[in-house]
Amino acid sequence: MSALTLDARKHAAAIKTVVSAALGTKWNAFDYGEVPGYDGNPGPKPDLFALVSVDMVPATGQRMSAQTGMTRWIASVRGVGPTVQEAQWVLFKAMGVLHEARLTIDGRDTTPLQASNGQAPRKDGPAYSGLAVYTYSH
Amino acid sequence: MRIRVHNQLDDLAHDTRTVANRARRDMTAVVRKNTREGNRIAKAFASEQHTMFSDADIEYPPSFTWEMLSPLEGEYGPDQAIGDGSQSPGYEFGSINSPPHFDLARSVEAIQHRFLWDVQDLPDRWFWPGAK
Repeated sequence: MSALTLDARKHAAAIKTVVSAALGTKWNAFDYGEVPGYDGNPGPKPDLFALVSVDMVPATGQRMSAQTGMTRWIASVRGVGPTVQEAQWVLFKAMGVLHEARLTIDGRDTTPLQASNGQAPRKDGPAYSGLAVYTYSH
Repeated sequence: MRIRVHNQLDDLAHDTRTVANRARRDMTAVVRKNTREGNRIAKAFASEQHTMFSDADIEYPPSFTWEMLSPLEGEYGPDQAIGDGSQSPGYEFGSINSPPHFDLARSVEAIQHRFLWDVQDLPDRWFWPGAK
């Protein structure tokens, strides 16, 4: 068994890869602040895209002295589109490849991602966006 | 040394009556403890996010409160009427411009194991008082 991967960038990269693939050749998944055309970034604004965030959860369920071979993570996918339905489409496509799926990060599989929470698409700046939340261990 | 323990139906009947009286009070105590603890953890996440990195949203963490809705039902989280509590959907879930903070979601991840252990402990304490 390979070592723990505490580097959130690798988790985010794995999620962005599968979500981008699910959105087809035209649309992609990005980190917050990295979307072309937003925040002064170069390039044309995409109509549809997904935003990915990854947080590690401190192992507060453990005793202070305990060691663990696993860490708990919360990932979220924000579906953005010019209408509610298009934002929902992004969330739906992402859920198709994430819910109950195992991702391989640094040669080690995660537990199946569980869709746990979320927010329906609503007006958000220039577009509509909604959120889907996934939890897993790695 | 030899210890003999005799249990009879009378004892079981007595235990059962005692358990019935204690159970509700003990279960309420477990719900109350974990609701309060969940709120403490969520508030700590919010404090970390909002006072370590900026002082713009300093009124958000004080909005975290907890209460018992019924003897077996507790609730915690930002109170809309206190401080910046009304902005909690934006902080918790984020927007196009900012990632979600997950103060509440992370507190649930943290508290769910303790809550489960406390609940599993309850029957042991009823049938073997003091044997925790």
